[in-house]
Amino acid sequence: MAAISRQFNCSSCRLEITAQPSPLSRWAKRPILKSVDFLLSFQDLSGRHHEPLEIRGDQAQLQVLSETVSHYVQNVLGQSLTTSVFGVPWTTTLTPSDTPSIPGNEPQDWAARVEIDSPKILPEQSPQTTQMGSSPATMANQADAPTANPDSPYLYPRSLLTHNLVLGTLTTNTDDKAIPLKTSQLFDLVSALDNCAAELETLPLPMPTRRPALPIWASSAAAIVLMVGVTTATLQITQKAPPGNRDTVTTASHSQKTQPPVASAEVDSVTSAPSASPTPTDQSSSSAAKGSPQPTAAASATAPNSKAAKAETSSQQESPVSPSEAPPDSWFLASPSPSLVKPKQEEPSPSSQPSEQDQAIAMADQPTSAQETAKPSAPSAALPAAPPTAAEPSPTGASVDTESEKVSEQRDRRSPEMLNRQAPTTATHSYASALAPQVVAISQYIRQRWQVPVGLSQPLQYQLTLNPNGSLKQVQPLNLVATQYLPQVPLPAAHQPFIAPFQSAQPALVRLVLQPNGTVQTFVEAKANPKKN
Amino acid sequence: MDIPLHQTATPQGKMVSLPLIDQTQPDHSQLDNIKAQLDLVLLALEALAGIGSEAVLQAAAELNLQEVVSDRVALWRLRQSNPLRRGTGGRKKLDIEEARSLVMISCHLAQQHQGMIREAVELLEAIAQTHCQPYQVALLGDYLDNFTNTYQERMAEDTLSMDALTDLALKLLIDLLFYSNSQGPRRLWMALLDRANHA
Repeated sequence: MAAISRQFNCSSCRLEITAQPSPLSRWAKRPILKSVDFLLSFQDLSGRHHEPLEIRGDQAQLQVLSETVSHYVQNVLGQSLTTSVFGVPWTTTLTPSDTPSIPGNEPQDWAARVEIDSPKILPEQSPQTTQMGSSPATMANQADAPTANPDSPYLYPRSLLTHNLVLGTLTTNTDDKAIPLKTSQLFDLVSALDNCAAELETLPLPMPTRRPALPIWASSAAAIVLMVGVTTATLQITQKAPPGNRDTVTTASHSQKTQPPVASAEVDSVTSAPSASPTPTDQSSSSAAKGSPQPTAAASATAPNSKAAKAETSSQQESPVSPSEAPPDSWFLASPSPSLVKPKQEEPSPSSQPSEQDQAIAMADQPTSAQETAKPSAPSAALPAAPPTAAEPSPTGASVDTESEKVSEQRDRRSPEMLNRQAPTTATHSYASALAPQVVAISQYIRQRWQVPVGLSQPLQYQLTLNPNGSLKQVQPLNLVATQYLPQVPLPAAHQPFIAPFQSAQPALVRLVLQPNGTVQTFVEAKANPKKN
Repeated sequence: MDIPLHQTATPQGKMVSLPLIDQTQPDHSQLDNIKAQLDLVLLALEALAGIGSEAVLQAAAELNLQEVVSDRVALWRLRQSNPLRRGTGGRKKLDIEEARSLVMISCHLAQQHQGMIREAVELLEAIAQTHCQPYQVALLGDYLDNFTNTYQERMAEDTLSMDALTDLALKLLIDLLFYSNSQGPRRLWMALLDRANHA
């Protein structure tokens, strides 16, 4: 469907909406839009002669701006007449630097009565009170000062007749972070936004709906993935083992009380990761003796450090769960590129695994007092070894040292290439963090527009070169299919700012990966190593 | 946090010429009373655009609210519910349907006279940067005169000083602008409730 464009004109501002109509529009009275972009331009702002001020943004930003302005206007209107007319704060005058008037012209007495001090709210400041509109100063404090996102736009009053709009991360053609609005201009702005909301209906953004859905099935999915991984690893273990030993395992499950040590020794001989410590062996044998599924417990405890290929696949299968628990700035970890994904994907999985291990230990702690007496230092030796990244030596015994050495050896053996690549990733972490908002913005921009072409079976990978002003400089397809489908990728126009600018002396490199299932992923590429494919 | 009314004025002494502690003064929080606010909004429209009871009744008819505001007497009774009014002011209770009707009518009238309201606000913005007084501009001067005279005529005596009346009139004028767009009724309704919470 062709893009539609609507304009909402008021005396001092114009709101222009460009969007794709949703197929759902045919069943709705109002057009339903998706992939909305807006351009808000103000005429005759004070201090800007002839040149209109332009603000650009996407659907989410329009929504935030609309809510912010509407909420602020309601706060202004909801102020108590008693305090707004008689209250002391209205009597203070603006400092000359705050006055939007011509220099040298002091406001009149009546005007001074309706002027208030500019509170200069910083986004970091939290609202002092939640009571609405009790006084102008209170309103200023609470006036849409963003609590969730410090980069969100907000307004604060300078007087009854002037207000300041702080733009946050909205893209604009001015260097000023705050623009002064007269009351009539504020009225035009809120009217344009009201008219837009009344005439057009936008589809809800996919991001907020997708995220809350994740935790609902995440726990069960994690359990299923864990079971599949453990079962696969167990099968691998039993298939690799000699037939006689396999019989031992099977008989162990039938007659666990007779032969638990054999079964645990078998598992340890194959998985061999933390087996230097005798404690897991004893615990797994005790859990087997209790009748619990012994290979499962043992494999789950050893999976993070196992060399077995199936164990690796199980840890990779767990990766869909780990991003949900990942820290917010781990956006760049979600890239599908094996070069960057592998080391990072494996780090969260051990962090979730030790809980399983702890559980196994806890279960093993319960049954016999003989085991408890035999292992006074056993839990303390096993627990520090659980997170493989915790390399600090434990004072409890040499077994821990050997264990951590083994773990580090296995990590070195398993992924020398990964470790080589981890170093630049860590080194460029601050660089990547600085570009985090831009990368997220690009991802949202593409996701709103990207339609998977019919017949696409491979991921498309592009390297985007971004100018510091938030525009696209260059696009480099990284595979043949990507070149073929390049015209269908909804990339922004070159050298037209479409995201917020960033501080950098040189262009930034961002990898864009479009999966055949519609997933859009972006991540920062290292400055020193722009091409990895 | 409400600012106590008896606080002293600023060192500039520009504001609040009210006697600070005077037993004869009415409670100013009555201004935030819903019934008082609705009457004041209509009073501001009346002062600016010369809206009389005929126009209000016509607006009620256009909005199919004749059942609530059927004639001049019904309208007078509704407005007389304002506790600031002389005589029997405030005795009548205003039910929610009557309040809603007055909100709809006020915003409808504000919408009809949006051009004049906007012109007045823009004049106010312009002269705020000069040495002029609002009284020196015809539209604003007439509005302030009308508002002040009507207020003093209808409300209890000696309630507000001239400065306070001017401020009240200007505040109501600015608010009227926001009540004149498509979301005006919703905003006025919410403002009534917000202010009533502070009353």
